[in-house]
Amino acid sequence: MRNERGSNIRHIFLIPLSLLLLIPFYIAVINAFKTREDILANPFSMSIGNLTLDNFLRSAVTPSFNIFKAYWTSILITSVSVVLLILLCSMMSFVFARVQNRFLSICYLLLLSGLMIPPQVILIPLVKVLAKLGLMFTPQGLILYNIGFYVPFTVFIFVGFIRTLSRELDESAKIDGASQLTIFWRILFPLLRPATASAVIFLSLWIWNDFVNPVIILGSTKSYTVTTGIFQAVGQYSTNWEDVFALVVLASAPIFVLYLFMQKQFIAGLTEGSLKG
Amino acid sequence: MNKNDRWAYTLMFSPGILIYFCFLLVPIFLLVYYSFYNWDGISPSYSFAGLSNYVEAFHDKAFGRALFVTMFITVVATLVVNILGIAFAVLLNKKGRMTNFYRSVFFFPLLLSTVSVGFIWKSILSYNGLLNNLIEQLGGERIEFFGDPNLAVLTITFLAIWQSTGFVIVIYLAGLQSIPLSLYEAVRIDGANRWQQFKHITFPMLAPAFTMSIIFMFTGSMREYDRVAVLTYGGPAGATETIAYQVVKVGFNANRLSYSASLAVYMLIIVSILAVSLTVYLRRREEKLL
Repeated sequence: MRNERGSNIRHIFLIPLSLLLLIPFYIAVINAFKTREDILANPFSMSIGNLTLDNFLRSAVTPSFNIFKAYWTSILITSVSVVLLILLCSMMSFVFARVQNRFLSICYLLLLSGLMIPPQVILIPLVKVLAKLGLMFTPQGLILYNIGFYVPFTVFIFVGFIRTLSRELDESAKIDGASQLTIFWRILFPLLRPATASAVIFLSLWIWNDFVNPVIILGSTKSYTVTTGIFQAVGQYSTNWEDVFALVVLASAPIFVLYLFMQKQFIAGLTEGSLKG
Repeated sequence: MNKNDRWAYTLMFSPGILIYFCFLLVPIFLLVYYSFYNWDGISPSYSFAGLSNYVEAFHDKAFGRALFVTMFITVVATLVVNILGIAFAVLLNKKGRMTNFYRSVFFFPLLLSTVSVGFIWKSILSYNGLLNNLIEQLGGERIEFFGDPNLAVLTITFLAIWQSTGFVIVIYLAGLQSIPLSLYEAVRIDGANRWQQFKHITFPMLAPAFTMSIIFMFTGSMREYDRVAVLTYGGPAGATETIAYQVVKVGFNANRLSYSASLAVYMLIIVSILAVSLTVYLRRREEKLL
């Protein structure tokens, strides 16, 4: 066991690191509530009397950008993509984990090779595919792309987990005459909860924060997510820091609130999921 | 397997693999196909170009520079993040309320989008940014964090390190907490000091966390795009363009779809070879150590 002195010395390293990681957020949050003159005069402190909501009122809704529309698009795209990914990939993984033949091995190898494909590489041909299907500039197109792109990761997480579950579970249900579909949804799927939680958190963060795919697939004017929306909105007035801060705070608020209430689940889901994968 | 099972399995398997096929594999085949033609992406006719796109890309100075910038960011960020990650995880490895607090703080930057975080840093570091205003008020000279070609690459590398270190610390912390304490007791009886304990037990036992963190940093940095788009638009004069940025820029803005496809194929080959060899090496290392 380490001595007490050692445990106090560690704060000398850990507190500066925490500050280095938190100060940018502190700057963004306090300055989002200040006027430009106030920001330029003293950027690192705040006086309660001078706080203002003007930056938010001015930049949240403009003729070309509406944060509520952006929230809605992001929520829609993230939730539909994640739900479909979980449904489709958990079933697929059940087949991969329980049936062995050459066709499935080849499919599994093809899936795993998809794990390392950088998204930018397939964007150009993907745009042509989506255009041919009439899905360019639509949320459906982006959702289908998200599913295709994250199938490898999601299957990878689920297959590893299902292989640790005993086959006796499904076999005893089989004797009772249940079909494979019933066995999976009634018996196995509830047992997959740790894997499902991990996958949901990873996928939601990636899809919610995604930038290059929505920028290209949704375009930039008709429809935008939180990320691509603030990118466009800031682009127009690049050095009005007070508006930039307000937009960044608005964009990050949903994740911050979720994190505040679900820290344990976030940390457990992201670390365990990655260590087992 | 009876007929009903076969049906059920097919039903469970097909939708996912179909979407993967249409939206990931087909684009890859198309990419390779386009790269052998001369298509601008718009006109109805195009002709076979053989390997000419690949030859041109091979001699393309801008692509060479982008490859160098990408490799620089990847190698430096991966190394620094993992060294800091292990060091701080060892410091943090104690139960208690402060540990939970630190862990929550360290984790946070990775949860936000690179775009949001990028804009915060842009407002601090750009020429008219808060830090430079402060430097000027104090009588110093403004620093071109994004205006100087070399400094801009270093700044982007720093921000990549800044955003990922906390996450990697937490990964290593999880790894540390799975090491049985009895291992340490055994060598302490033999009189091993702290450094020897770290070298012979802690570091080898961290192998799975090490594999995961290296792969996470490697794949993330090789596709570096968002920070470049937010902070520099690839500038000054293309100095901060990464290969991912260039593939998108050439493909969508310069209307040289086929040429961009050949750059993308190069990127795919480089990333795949490096990722596969790195993964194989790290997995073998794990097997040897554990």
